[in-house]
Amino acid sequence: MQTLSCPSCGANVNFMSKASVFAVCSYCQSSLVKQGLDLEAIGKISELHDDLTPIQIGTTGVLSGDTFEVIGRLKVAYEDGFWNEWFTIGHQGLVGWLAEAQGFYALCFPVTDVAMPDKSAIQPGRKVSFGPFGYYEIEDIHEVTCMYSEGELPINAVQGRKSLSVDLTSDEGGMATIEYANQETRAYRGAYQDFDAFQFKNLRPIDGW
Amino acid sequence: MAGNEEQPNMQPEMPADQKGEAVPPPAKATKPRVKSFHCINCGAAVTIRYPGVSLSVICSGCHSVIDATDENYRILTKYFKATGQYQPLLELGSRGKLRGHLWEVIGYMVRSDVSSGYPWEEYLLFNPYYGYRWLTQDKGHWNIVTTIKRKPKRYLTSETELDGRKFKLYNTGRAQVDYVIGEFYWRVMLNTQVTMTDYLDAPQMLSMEKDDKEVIWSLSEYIEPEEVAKAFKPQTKFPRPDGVAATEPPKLKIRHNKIMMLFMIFWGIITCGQIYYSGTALNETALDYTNNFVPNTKQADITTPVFTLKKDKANVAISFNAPVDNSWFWAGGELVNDDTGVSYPFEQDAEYYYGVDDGEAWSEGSGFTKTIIPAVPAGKYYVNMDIESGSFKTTNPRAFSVTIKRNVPNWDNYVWSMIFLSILPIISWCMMRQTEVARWANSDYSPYVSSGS
Amino acid sequence: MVKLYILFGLYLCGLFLYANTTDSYILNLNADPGVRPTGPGAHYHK
Repeated sequence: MQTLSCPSCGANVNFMSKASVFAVCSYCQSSLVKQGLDLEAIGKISELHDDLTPIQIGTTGVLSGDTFEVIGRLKVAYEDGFWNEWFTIGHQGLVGWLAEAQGFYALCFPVTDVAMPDKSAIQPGRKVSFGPFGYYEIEDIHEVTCMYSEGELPINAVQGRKSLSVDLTSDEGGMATIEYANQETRAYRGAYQDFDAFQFKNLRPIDGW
Repeated sequence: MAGNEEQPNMQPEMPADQKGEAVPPPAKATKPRVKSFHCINCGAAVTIRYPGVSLSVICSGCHSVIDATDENYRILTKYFKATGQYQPLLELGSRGKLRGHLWEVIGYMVRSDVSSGYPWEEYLLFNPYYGYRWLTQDKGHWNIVTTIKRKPKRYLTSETELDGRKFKLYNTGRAQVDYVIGEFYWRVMLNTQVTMTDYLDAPQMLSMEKDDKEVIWSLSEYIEPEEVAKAFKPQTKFPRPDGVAATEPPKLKIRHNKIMMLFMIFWGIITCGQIYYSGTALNETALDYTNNFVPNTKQADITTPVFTLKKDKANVAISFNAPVDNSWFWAGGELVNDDTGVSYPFEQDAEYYYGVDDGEAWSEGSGFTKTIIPAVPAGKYYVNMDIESGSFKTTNPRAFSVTIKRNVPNWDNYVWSMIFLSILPIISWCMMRQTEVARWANSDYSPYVSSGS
Repeated sequence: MVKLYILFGLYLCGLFLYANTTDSYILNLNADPGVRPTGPGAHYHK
């Protein structure tokens, strides 16, 4: 773990993953970009109202026997609502994203070395090859905007950041995501799992529940 | 990765743990904050119970759909059919524990099939950890519904497969919203229709809902009204269930399968038994006796020589063979035990008639007759008989023969056993069939109704 | 009904066994009652 200090307020900012390039100071909510061993403050993340999620930074869970910990969060809004993408780190530093929406939870991991189709070729129903992992069919395509971020993240998650999020499923019930942002295309694949199967620990207490 | 370095406190007011590391402020417990405002259309007070997750809320005053995420609470649909005749059976805001989790009723919707007008109720249940479920009610039958992310294989339009189970097409149609109140996790669009397709594999129904934007699959499962009532303790009495629910658990089918399995087992046992008894039957000719008779006369007291019957308590088959030719031959007498004198009476008729009527040949009867006498003790026996015949054309003496067979294979017990064994399977099949026909009564694709219109 | 059928089926198997070892007509509802022993010395014709 790497600990740097926030240029705005001096508080400790921890980085558990080498992949993290961005963080939000938990004391002053400054958005910070990591440059080597320095942090540059580029703005402030405004407060999130009306948040209702049991997951928080520090929550741990299990998928296929491997434990992971939540170290960051990205809340994205799209035309018909929003969802949370929790940045996770697992054994041997493997990072992933835990997508949380309407009681559905899916954990996915980066797919490298497989070329993704061009943004213009994306259409619902089309099949995309994920190389040795087989074919995934495009289910939904959403234009998303970052509305809130916290913790550490592998992308510059400034409020207002726009990207195209593509959801895919495989015949065996697996899921995948492709994200088209400014200059980058990232792909991930993983699986949905029931809340109970994740055996979440250190959940955020929800008053009245 | 860099080692766990201890950093000296940069600011003295920050709390520090025992190692001297700065401890970030604890995450605040999420306190669901209810939001109240006044409907910009009619001024009535509106409350959003879960503003963090609900996207639309319906004004109880004017029944307009309001955007719950808009800071000005803009109206999405105005004045939606403000009729008051629908009353939810489960109170909005009530909580209950169903299938292991606590749920809160946050929305209520009445939808109906566009072409038939057939209505049903939908209750939206919420739990911040587990998400959403629906409870649907129609004609007193309840189902608990979950949206699913996995998609079924669609290889036939009449059938589809999910998790290795086959679901049969039950209904297709379009649904519209007739009434809505509460809050929902999407922006409820009224005055629109969705296409619905239902596939049944009791006790579950696989449903597909489609509008011009997306396709949603969900799985419904039958739930007893008592279970719903026990969880939510409603003030209103539930409507009495009418008919058989489509997703009614197939108890009678399961029972019939068990009974058929037992039938096969018993059939097997009895068939093996029959094969054994038929195989070990002596089927032995104890006597082959031939004599002459004068046609069209009576003859009394014809006695056969004595013969031996082995194997105690077995049957005796007495057969006659007479040369009847548009004539008849009758024999009556008894099988007599030479030692004890116990006798077994019998009577046999051999008739054979034939002719040509309007160019068509016919025949009736036979020259062979047989009687089987059961459970005859072993010993020495003879047959004593009277014979009579008639309608013979000529009266010159002819021969007739009597054959006595000991322990012939008997299939009567087997046939009757099978008849008795079939009684309960037939009853169970009829009961099952009755339920299945009723189950499919509301379907346009019932396999029990011939499709011919 | 299943329990009833198990008991009934076992009973029927028992009856089948009995009927075959004693050559009884107990299972045969259609049995001809005529073929019964008539006692010593009886003759058919009067």
